[in-house]
Amino acid sequence: MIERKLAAWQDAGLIDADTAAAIRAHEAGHSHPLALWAVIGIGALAIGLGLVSVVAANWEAIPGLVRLAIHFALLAMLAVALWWRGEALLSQRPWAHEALLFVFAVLGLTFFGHLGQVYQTSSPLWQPLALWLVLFSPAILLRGSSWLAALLLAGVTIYACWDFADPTRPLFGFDRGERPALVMGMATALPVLFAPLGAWMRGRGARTDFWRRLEQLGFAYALGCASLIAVAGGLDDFDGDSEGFLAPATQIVQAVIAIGAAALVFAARRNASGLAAAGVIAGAALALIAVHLVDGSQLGSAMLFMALWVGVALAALHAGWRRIFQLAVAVIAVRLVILSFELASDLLTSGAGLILAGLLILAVAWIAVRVSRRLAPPEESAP
Amino acid sequence: MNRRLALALALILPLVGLAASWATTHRAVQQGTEWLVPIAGYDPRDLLRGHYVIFTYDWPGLERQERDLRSEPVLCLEGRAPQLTRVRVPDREPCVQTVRAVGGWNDPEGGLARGRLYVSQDRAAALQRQLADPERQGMVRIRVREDGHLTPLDIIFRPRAEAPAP
Repeated sequence: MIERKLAAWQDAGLIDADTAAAIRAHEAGHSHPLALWAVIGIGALAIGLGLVSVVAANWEAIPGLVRLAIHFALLAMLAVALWWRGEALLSQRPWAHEALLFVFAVLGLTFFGHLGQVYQTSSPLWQPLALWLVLFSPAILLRGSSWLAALLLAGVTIYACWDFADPTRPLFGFDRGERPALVMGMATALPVLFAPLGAWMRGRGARTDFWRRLEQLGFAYALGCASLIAVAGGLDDFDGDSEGFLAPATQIVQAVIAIGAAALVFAARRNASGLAAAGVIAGAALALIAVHLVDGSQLGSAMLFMALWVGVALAALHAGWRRIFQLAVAVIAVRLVILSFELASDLLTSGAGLILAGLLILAVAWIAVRVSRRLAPPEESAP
Repeated sequence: MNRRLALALALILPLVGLAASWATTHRAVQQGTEWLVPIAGYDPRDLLRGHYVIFTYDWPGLERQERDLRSEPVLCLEGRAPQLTRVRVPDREPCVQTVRAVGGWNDPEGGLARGRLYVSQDRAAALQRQLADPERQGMVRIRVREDGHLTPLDIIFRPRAEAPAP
């Protein structure tokens, strides 16, 4: 497409041949083959899922020890390949390296399942996941180069943290409800620390894309959890039968960790984008505490939710994140519409109510689209 | 630290860790005494860890209300291994062999009320049919370590008349 435009501009006399050549060279050097990356990602994901289901098929024709030995030999071969050819692959074909690393890590993850199958052992899922994190995160942090590795690392971390904090299971002899708030809060707030880690590393050295994704995942985790909690704050028995991780003490611990993470993000990236990202994470932390002031009020929880996302919109304006600004406006609009039904639940039961509801939705959508177009920062950038 | 050395360490660490985990598991399952326990069961599946049968232990000599107890999940096994004559909740009398569930009676990962056995999809379907057969009594062969840790090994079937009264 750019070739056609360049030719047209050159014909119109807007740019000369040298400028056109310079633009081509620049674009060739800075292009992101998005489609290629997506295909590689889907391919690697398919291989990962395939490995899981091959193990899951529990092929009894082959003795367990032989199956485990083959699995282990595959892992060792991949490790050798990553060591031997890793450097060259990473500079020439980073996507091939990323796929290799992903398959290596997923094979490691399925090895625990395979062990359990052969020896009939079982343990809570967070234990093998935590061991996997200890064993495989050094390789991923040293060599990950895109969203694929970042997503695997953050995904396993989040799953392990929440499985550890599972309220239905006794933990270290503590029954539900009496488990220490400090431990629960620390475990569930842990994934937010990907934000300062990514922010610190992306300015220092290569593989910027990997670290940027990791920071975004930590950011999204903080914002997503705070949004969910703000929604849950509107439920009637929010503070009633608290299960340990909805208890105020747990959330104070979570908020303290998130505020620490926000301060570190700003310390690592002292620019408009860093300040905005830190502001959103700190805002999410405050929302976790403020939700206990709302205490079951529908209007209060909606106000808290919208305040959080108005903060996101302001941060996006400050930092120039166009898509996040538009997302924030859309989220606020949807929450406004839902709130109108919550407050006047009889809107749908009469003809006049339906007309009113329709007009309201159209008005909110119209305003949201106008705000989104008029005020959104012009250029695209992301936290 | 040298980048090449750091990479080598980062790649060796998972291999050493997985090998150690494999060796520990392999050693741990060799220890203990085998017992046969009557069961009843059904057949769900799990993608990550393969197909398995979940079964309910039918501990001989244990009343239903005792099984529903929220007490400590420990039982005394009586009989000559592998033939289990009865079990009882531990009291003042000494226990020769105890069995213990770390995660509680109803632990989904394997408690004293229910356990799970990984089998292939075909075997799981066959077991499901056999468990539904009123003529036959399903028995799970378990291995119990000194510390009371329990590992299910296999499921076998006997004509119901021979089975110990539940």
